[in-house]
Amino acid sequence: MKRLPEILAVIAVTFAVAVVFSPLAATLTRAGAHSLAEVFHGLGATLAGSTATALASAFVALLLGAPLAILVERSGRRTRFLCSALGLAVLMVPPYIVAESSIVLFGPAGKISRPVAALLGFGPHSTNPFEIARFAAPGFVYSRAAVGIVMGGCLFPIVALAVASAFRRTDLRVFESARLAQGRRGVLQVAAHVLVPPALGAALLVFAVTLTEFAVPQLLRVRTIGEAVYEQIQEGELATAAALGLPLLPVVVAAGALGAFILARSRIASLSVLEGEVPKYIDRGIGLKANAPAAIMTLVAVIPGLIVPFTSLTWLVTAAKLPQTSAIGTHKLLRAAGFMPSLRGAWELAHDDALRTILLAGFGATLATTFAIILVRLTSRLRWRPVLGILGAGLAVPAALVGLGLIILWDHGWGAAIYQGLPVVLLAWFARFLPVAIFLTQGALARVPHELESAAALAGRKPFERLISVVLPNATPGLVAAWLAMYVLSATEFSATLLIAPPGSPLLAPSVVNLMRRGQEPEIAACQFLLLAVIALPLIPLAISRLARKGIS
Amino acid sequence: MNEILRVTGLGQTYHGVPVLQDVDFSAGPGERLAVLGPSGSGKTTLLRLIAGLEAPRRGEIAIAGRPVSRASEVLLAPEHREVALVFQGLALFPHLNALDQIAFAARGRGGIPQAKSLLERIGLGHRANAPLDQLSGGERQRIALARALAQEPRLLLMDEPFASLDDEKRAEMRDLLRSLLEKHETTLILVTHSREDALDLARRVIVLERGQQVACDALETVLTRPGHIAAARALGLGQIVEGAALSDRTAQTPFGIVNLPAGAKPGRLRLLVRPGQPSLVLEPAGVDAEIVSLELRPSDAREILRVAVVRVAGNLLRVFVRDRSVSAGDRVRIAIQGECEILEG
Repeated sequence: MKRLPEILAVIAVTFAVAVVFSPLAATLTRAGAHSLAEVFHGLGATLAGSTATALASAFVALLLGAPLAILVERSGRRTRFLCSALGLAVLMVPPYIVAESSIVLFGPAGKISRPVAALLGFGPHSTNPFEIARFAAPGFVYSRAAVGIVMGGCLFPIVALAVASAFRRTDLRVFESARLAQGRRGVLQVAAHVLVPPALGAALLVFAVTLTEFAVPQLLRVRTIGEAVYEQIQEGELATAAALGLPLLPVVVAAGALGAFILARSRIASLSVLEGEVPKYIDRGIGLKANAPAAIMTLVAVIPGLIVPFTSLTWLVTAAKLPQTSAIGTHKLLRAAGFMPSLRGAWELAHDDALRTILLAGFGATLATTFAIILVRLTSRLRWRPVLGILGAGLAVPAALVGLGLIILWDHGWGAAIYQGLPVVLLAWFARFLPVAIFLTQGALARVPHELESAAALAGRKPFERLISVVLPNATPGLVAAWLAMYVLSATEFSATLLIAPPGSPLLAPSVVNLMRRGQEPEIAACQFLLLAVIALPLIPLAISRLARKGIS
Repeated sequence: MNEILRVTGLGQTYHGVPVLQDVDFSAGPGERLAVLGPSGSGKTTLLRLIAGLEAPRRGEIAIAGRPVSRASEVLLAPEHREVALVFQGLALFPHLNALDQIAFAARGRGGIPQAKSLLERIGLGHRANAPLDQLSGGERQRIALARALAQEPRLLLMDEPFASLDDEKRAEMRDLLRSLLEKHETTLILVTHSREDALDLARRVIVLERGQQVACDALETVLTRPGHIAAARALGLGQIVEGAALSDRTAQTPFGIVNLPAGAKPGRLRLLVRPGQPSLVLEPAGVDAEIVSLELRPSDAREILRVAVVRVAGNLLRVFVRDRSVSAGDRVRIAIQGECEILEG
C-alpha cells in the first residue's frame, strides 16, 4: 500500500506520454524507411518561407501584445477589465475565420479593398503601377506577410498575458526607486529587465505555434510543409507524408522549449491574468490620461483578431443574397437573405455538427482536466514534476503529424473500432492539447499555498479529503481556465480532426472550414458565427456564476 | 511517562546543508516553551518536523510516548498526531468564511456548535459569515488561533503568530491565548522573535543558533545565566563586549578592566554587560569616553531614562545617565561595575 502512489504515478505518466507521443512515434517509425533527401527535394524554400512567416507573426504579436499589456496594466480598474476581456476574446476566435474574413474584406475582390480602389481611381484601364500590380498579383492578402499579420493578430494575447503577468508580479516601487536614482533611463533599464524576457519568451511560443499552423496558410494560399503533408496523405503516401513533417519538428521544439524556458525563468509560466492573481502593489493610473491610451491600443490590437472577422461576418450575413439552392458536400445550402434567415439556415445546416462538437469538446475537456488533476497531484507528491516538462514537447508536434500518426496507429484490424468512431478525435485532441491542460492545471494547483494543505492535514484531513475540501476550491479559477483552454482548442481544432474525423459524424470546425472554401455565402458566414457561439458557450454559465457571486457578496 | 513531546538528536538538512542539528528536549502536559533564535536558525523547521509535515534527517520525535518520526521516516501522519500549528502566514482558507474556518477543524470535535462557541470566545461571534478578505489582520490572527484550538490538540505549535501585529495587538493576542489555554492541558511551543512574547507566555525557552540548540532551560535560569551569546541576544539581556582574560577573575575590555566570575579561562572572551552595569564615574576611575548621542527610554515609573551612547576607541556602549547636564559631544569617564558573565559562542 505504501508504494501505491508511486505505482499510480507511473501508470498516469505512462498513459500521458503514450497519448501525447504515440502519434509522433508511429509517424517516425513509418518515416524511417524513406530516403529523406529524396523527400525533401524542393522543400527548402517552403521551410524557409514557413520560418519567415512565423517570424513575422511573432513580430506582430510583440508589436501588439507588449504595449497593450503595459498600457492596460497601468489603467484604471474598469478600463483594465474591459480591455483585458476584449484582448482575451481574441484567443477565442479561430485564426482560420480571421484569415477568411481578411479575404472577404481585403482580398482582390474585397468588400473594403474594391470600393477603396474604385474611390482612388483604380480600375481596369488604370495606368497606375499599384493598380497594375494589384491585378497582376493575387493581392497582399495572399502573402506570407498576411499570414504573419493574421497569426500575430490572433496570438498577441499570449505576449500580452506574459508581459501583464510580469508587470503584476513586480513591485512597482522598483520603478519608482529607479526613477529617483537615474530618472527615465533608470525606469527603462528596469522595465527592460522585467518585461523584455517574458515578451520574447511568449513571442517564441507564437513563432512555434505559427510554424505548426496549417489552415491559415492554406486559406491564404501560402504553401507550407503542412500542406505538402496533406497532399501526400490524400494520395495515400503515408510514409512520404510522415517524412515530410519531420524537418519542422526540431525547429518547433527548439523555439517552443526556448520560449518556455525564458518564460519559466521570468516566472511567468502560468496565465495568472486569467486566474485573477492579485498584485501585491500596483500604482495604477486614473483618469483619461491612463485610460485613453489603453483603450486606443486595445482597439488597434483587436482589429485583426476581432474587428475584421466580426465586420466581415456581419456584412456577409446581413447583406449577401444567395441566388439559388446549391449542394455543398454533405451539407445542403438553403436560400437565405438577411440576418435571422441566415442564422436559421446555418442552424439547419450545422446544428448536428455543433451539438456533437459541444458534447465531445466538453467531455474531452472534462476528461483532460480530471486526468490532469490526478497526474499533477500524483507527480507533485512524489516530486516528479520535471517529468511533466517532457510532455511540453508534445505541443510542438504539428497537427498533420498527429493526424497521420493516428491513422497509422489505428486504421487497421483491431484499431478500427476506435478509428471509425469519435474516440479517435478525442485521441487527436488529447495528443495535441493535453499538455496545455496539464500545465495550466499544474499552475493552478501550485498556486494554492502549501500551508493550506498542511493546515488541513493537521486538522485531520486525509490526502483525498484535502484535495476536495481545500485544494480544488482554491484552485477553481485556474482549473476553469484549464478546462476552457482545452474546450476552445478542441472545438476549434481543424487540422488533425479533418484527417481523422469519422464519416457520418462531422464536427463543426472542419465543416465550417470546408464550407468556407466554397464561397462567401450568408449561411456559411452564419456557420462561422455558430462556431464562435459554440466556443463562447461555456462563458455563459461562468458569467452567470460570477454575477451571482457578486450579488451574494 | 508523563511527557507529551520528546525530541531526541533531531537533525535536518536541505540540499545537503544542515539546518537543524542535535536538538534534544522534552515537554510535559500544559508546559509552555518558547523557541528563540535569529532568522534562519531552524525554528520553523523544528515546528514542521514536530507537526510531521516533513521527515527529519536524523533523530526521533515521540508524542505521548509514541515515536512519530525518525530518520527519514514519518511514522505517524500529521492528521493523526493531535497537533495543531498556527502558521506564520496563518494559512487561513480563502474560500471559507470565519465560522467555517473554525468548523473545518472542529469536525468530529463538536462541529458547528463548538466552532460558534470558540468564535464567541475570541470575540468574533458577530463576524461568523464574514469572508476572509473582509477580516482585519487582528481578526485573522484570532481565527487562526481558534481554528488551531478547535482541533483540541495535545500540542499547540505557533510559528511567530503575532509577527505582523503592532505592540498593542500583540499584547491583546497574548492575553487571549493565555485565557484560551488556561483551562486546558495543551502544551504550547511558541516560535518567536519577540522577547515580550517569550517572557509573557513561556516558562521554558529553547534557543537555536545556526540550527544548533544552544540553550534549553527554565526561563528564569536563562534570564539569570544565559550562557550563550545567542540566548543573551534573543532575550535582550544586555550588550555583548569582547575582552581578553587578565586573570581568572578579571578581563581587559575596550571599556576598562571588568570583573569576572571565578574560573575564567585565559584567551579571548565575550562578556555580557547588563543594562545597569556601565555608569559614569569620576576621575581617576574608569576610562575616557565621548558621548556620541543621547537616547530616551520610558521606565515603569513616570521618570524618563536617559541613555548615553558612548564611544571608546571606536567601540560603542550604552550607559544610563542620571546627570541631566551631559550632552552629545561631552567627554566623560565610564566604568563597568560588578561581574560580567562569560558567554559562549
